[in-house]
Amino acid sequence: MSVITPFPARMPYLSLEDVSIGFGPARNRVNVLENVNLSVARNEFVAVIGFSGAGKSTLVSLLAGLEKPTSGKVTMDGRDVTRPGPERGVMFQNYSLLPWLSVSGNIELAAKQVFPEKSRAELREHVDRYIEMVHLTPAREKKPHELSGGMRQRVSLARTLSMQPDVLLLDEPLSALDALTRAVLQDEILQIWEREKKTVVLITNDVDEAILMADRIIPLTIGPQATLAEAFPVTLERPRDRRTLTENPEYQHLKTEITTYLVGLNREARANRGSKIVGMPDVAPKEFRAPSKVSGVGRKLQA
Amino acid sequence: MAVKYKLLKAIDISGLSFLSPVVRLVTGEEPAKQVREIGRFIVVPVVAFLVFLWLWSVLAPKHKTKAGEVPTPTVVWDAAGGIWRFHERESAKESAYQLTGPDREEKLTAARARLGELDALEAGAKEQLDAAEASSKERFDAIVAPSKAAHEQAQATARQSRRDRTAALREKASAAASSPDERSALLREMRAADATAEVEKAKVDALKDAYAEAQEVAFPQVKSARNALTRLAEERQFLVKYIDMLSDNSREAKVAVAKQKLDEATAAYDSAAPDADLYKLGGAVLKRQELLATTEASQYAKPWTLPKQIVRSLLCVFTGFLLASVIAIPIGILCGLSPTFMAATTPFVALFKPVSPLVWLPIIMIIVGGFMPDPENHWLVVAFGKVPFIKDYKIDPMFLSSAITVALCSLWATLVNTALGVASVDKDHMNVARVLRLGFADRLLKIVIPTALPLIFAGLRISLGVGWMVLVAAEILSTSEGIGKFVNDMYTNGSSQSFAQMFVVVFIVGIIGMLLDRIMVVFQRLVSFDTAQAAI
Repeated sequence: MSVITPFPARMPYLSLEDVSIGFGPARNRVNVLENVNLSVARNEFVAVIGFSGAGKSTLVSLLAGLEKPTSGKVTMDGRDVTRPGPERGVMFQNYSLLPWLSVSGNIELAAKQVFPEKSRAELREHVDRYIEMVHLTPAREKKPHELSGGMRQRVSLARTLSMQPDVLLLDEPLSALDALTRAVLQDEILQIWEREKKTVVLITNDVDEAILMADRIIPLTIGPQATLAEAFPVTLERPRDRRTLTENPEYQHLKTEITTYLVGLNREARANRGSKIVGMPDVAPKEFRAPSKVSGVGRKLQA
Repeated sequence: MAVKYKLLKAIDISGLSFLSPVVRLVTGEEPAKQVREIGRFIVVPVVAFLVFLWLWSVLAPKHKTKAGEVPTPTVVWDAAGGIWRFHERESAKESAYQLTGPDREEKLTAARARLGELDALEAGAKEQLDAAEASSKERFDAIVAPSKAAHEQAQATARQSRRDRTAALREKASAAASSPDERSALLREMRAADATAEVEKAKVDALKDAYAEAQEVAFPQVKSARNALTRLAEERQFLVKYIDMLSDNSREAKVAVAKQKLDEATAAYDSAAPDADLYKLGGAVLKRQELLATTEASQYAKPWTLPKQIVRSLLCVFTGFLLASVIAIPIGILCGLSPTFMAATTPFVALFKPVSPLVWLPIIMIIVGGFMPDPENHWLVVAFGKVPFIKDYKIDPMFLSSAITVALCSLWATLVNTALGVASVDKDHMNVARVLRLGFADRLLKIVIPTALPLIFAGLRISLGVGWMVLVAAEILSTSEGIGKFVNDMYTNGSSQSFAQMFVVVFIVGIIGMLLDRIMVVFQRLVSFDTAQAAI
């Protein structure tokens, strides 16, 4: 007798099994994530949504292999993930471009490492293809500090894609951008995804973004000891058009549902905190700058 | 327009930001604002410097020292000219010695013509000096004569009154009273007379000083006329020597003499009777041949002039700087990469960083001396002696000791900055490297060093500045040829001219230090990917 699952045809491609991770000394360890289970099918687009500080970035680090779980197992395509590698391309929130390299230099660094067998001409063609894909050809030789935030994130996307990873891990790639730029980039990422068909895990704090892009939305509960909650499947037809989407009753329903769930999480967390105030360690932040003349700032913070 | 922005960018990179309002003003951008900026960043510094020069010229003559008055800016300027003339003349002699054929003849004619002109010039200068002296004589007498008279009169009076007192006392003594009371009274009177004599002598001395001071009253025309005459005399002296170098004492002339002697020796050998002492005659031929070869290769023994000393100092500081960089950058990178290595290095940095160059130098001189018991034939000195440009600058153990001292004192800034730069590699960049699975070498070359480069250059800039300061001190102590040696020579010389030349050195050292710093700023800016990071 077979177990009936929502996605019977799909085998888990990337998965977390009972994963916990904590920081600090063994005796006094606080688990950031606890008993996290996640399975992502091949070519699935999963969005993990959560409040800031819930441990979303830690989740990406685990999937990427940048962090090792305290307990549990991370697997990809049936094999344990023990270290980071180009088959899981990460797009970082703060771009992480090398400021001394140009746009093409940044992408070339990645491409050269992943495809060492390519000749110089092939490499150049490869790099140019991905620069073209994110519409940055005119800025090919610009340095990152000469680019806007949106352009930098495009470079980061092109760099990640140029490694031709099997899995794309997007760690809040768009949350530092303004709303207009964000919309443009969302569309670009979606177009590329539909063309290249990759497995994607998108970390976000934006419900609209999640619904627009993902097949499945998984909320992360509020930390510490955060874990993944029940998934919301998004069955909206693709390609999704952001202009008509807001009129769609299914979209409206889903958005209300997810938002209500998240607000509920928040309320619950606050109620928990009310009974047990977590003591803050008695430390003062280090001041590295010379004392500023603006003395009001400190007072405002205390109030 | 494109030119304007290229220019502004170049100004920005070179850190000469005070020039940018000038460029903007010339291109007509917000004239009022640019004029204000020029006022602040160009006019104000210039005015401040002028005020400094004025204060200097007013205050300097007030302080008298053993080496004469503290030189005023004008005197220092003249001294700089003197240093330069000395250098030019020595270089002229050097090239004169090697000239041959028509070139030599041509120069010789020119020099002789100039020597001929000098007679008239000197006569003119002498006349002017006489005129100046005559015109100022009256004023001079008016100032000096009264003090001279006062001094002479006081001297005469004092002598006279002393004589009178002595005579009176002698008289009293010869009519010596027999009672002890009278005898002790005589002693008292003699003592009183001595005291009076002391007082009078002090008065005379004071007047003598006043007279001497009055004599020193300077009359600018007389002074400049005298200077002009001295300068002409110096030129004459030089020309005589120069003509000698071009004629009798030129290499060509010496070679001709040596050749002739060789010919004579050869002829004597060839035509000698069979029973003659052929061994002795052959020896003479060989000796003459050798002599000819040395003469042909000989050079004018040019003394060290300040420009040459400056070049040697620069060579020395760059040798030390290179040494410091070669040591400090790799160690700094290791420190930044490994906290354990950093922990191991910290005590050495803390302990040796504050040690003064004046302590290092003698120790290093002894150690280097130990490695080079016979410096002339040591392989390192021999190797340097073969390098085209460097061989003119006498690389010796003193030079190496100074360079090593510079390195030891300056490497710390680079080491600490490199360690800091490497340790401050962005964690996200390292994550990128991990995702890409970059190997150790790639991480080092593609992530770590580019990140650290601006800070490494900031360290190198400090190192070069420290090195330049240390070098002059080291040269003074080691008497290794260079700017420091020049200062030391001037100090031991102790004439008013050499005092002024030491002031010249202050400005030369300052200007060179400033230029070195500027060069490093440009490098630092070129490697900085973030413009805000490279503050001036």
